[in-house]
Formats: sequence, structure tokens, C-alpha cells
Amino acid sequence: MKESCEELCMKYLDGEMTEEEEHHFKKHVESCDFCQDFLKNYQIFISVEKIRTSYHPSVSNKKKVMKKIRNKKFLPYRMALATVSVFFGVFLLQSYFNTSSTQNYYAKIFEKGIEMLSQSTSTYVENSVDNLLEKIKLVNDSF
Amino acid sequence: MGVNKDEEKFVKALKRREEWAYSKLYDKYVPMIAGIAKSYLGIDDVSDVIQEVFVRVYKGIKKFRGDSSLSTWIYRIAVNVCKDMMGKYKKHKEILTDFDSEEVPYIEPKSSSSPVESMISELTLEALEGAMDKLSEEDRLLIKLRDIEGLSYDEIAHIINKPVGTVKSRLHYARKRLSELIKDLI
Repeated sequence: MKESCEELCMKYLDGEMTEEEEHHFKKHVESCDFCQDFLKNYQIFISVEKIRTSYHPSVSNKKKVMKKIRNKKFLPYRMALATVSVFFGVFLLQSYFNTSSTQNYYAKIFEKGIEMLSQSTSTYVENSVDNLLEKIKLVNDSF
Repeated sequence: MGVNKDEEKFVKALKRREEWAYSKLYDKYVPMIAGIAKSYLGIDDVSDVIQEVFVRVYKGIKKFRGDSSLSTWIYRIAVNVCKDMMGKYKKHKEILTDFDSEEVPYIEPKSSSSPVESMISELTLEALEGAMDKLSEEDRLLIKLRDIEGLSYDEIAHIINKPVGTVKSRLHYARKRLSELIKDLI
């Protein structure tokens, strides 16, 4: 009887009984200790578990979840923006270094020019002094 | 167990990553997701699980073909997240148990309580939780899905990825075991 009582209880809990079967089962439960205990104990657990596992959504948690979703949504755009920014930054740096190296190049030319000019000037000055001294000597000799 | 027209529109909005759709999804499914997590993991703070489920829904919605209903698909994700997080929460629970006080909380008896409620009041919450802990996570989940949420065996089989026959026999075993455990407490 116990075995079939268990089966009946399962069928009842699963809602698989016809109206007639359910009517007979309820009558049977009134006089069956096993079925009474089984259903009562199970009902206790279900009542407690229902309360324990109930959940009332909080606004703050919803906000957190929606923020996470939004972050995920905009992540590809952010990645694209970051990539563009990096490329742009690299381009700027490169052009800056290019400019400064060009500037260095012109500066070197300029320095070289100055050097050549000063060299030529000093040579010219030296030459002109020599010439002048020679001319003075010639003048002096003629006297 | 496919997808109806309204759900089809809703799924399309989810696939388009429309924010209102995710907001609605949260309102509609979060109590069930949290319930599954609480039942499976035996914890109260399930915000991490909820967040992870939504992230996985967001990432995986494009692969959703409508072979099952949206709810079944989401609950399946929730169960998988719980399985993945089980290790983390088991450790957390062990630590909490180590520091637990000796006090046993009683459920307050209500003045006009039903026979079942008065029976609960005789038991301690801790004793009931102890009985629940003796069941496996999956058995607790089966009871939750079938006897609390009222899902069909087909849906449950789809969610936990097991044959209907296995689900049914497992649930019957869990019910018997639980009834015996509670009987021992009374």
C-alpha cells in the first residue's frame, strides 16, 4: 500500500489526476496516515522554500544591470574611438618628430652656413689684413 | 514550445540591443532568475548571478533561434551561471558557517495561522534549511521549477538539459527524500 500511496501522492502533486481520481484520492488521504504526513511535510517545505526563494527586484540592482548592458553596448564604439585616438596620437607624434627633425635639418644647414660664412669672413679679414700690411710695407719701403 | 509573435518582436528588439527591451526583460524575468539562484546556491545575495545572466543573454541573444521559449532559454542560462558560480559560493558559505552563532532563529507564530503555518512555527528555520541542504542543488532546483514555479516537465528537461524521464524520477526521489527529512525534524 505504501508504494502505491507514494505514487498517488506524486500523481497528485504533478496534477496528473482526473477529477474523479482526485476526488477518490482526497477521500483516501483522510484515512491514510502515510499520505497525510507526506503531503503535509511536503507542503511545509514548499511554503518555506517559496518565501526563501522569493525576490523583489530592487531599483539599484536594476540600475547596475542596465549600466552593465549599456557599457557592453557602447564598448565597440569606445574601442573604435580609442583606436582612432591612438592612431591620431601616433600620427601627431610622428608629424611632430618629422617637423622637429626637419627643423634640426634646417638648423644644421643654418649652422653650417654660419660656420662657412664666419670661416670665409675670417679668411677674408685675415687676407685683407695681410694685404693691408703688405701694402703698408710697400708704401713704407717706397719711402 | 516555440516563440509566439509578441515574443518574436521582443526578441528582435533584444537582438537590436534596444535598452527598453532589456529593462522589460529585467522586470519580467529577474524574480525567476533570482529564485533559481537562491534555490540552487542556497544564498540570499544573488545580484552577481543576475548581472552575469544578463550579460550572457546580451552576448548570446543573436544565437537564439526560438527552438524553445525565451523564458526556457533564459532559465537555462541562469542554471548554467549557477553551476559556474557554485564553487565560489560553496566556499563563501563554508566561511559563513564557521562563524555562525549558536542562536537558533524561530519563525514567529501567527495568530490566525493555518495548520501548515503552525507546523512551520514549531520548526526552526535553521532546521528546515538544514534539511534543504541535504538535498543536492539539482534536486532543490527541480522542486523549485516544478512545485513552486509550476513549469512543465518538458520545460524543465530543456532547462537542465536532461531527458523528461530522468527529470520526473529525480523529482519523485527528491520529494520523498525531503518529506522523510522533514518528518525526522517534527
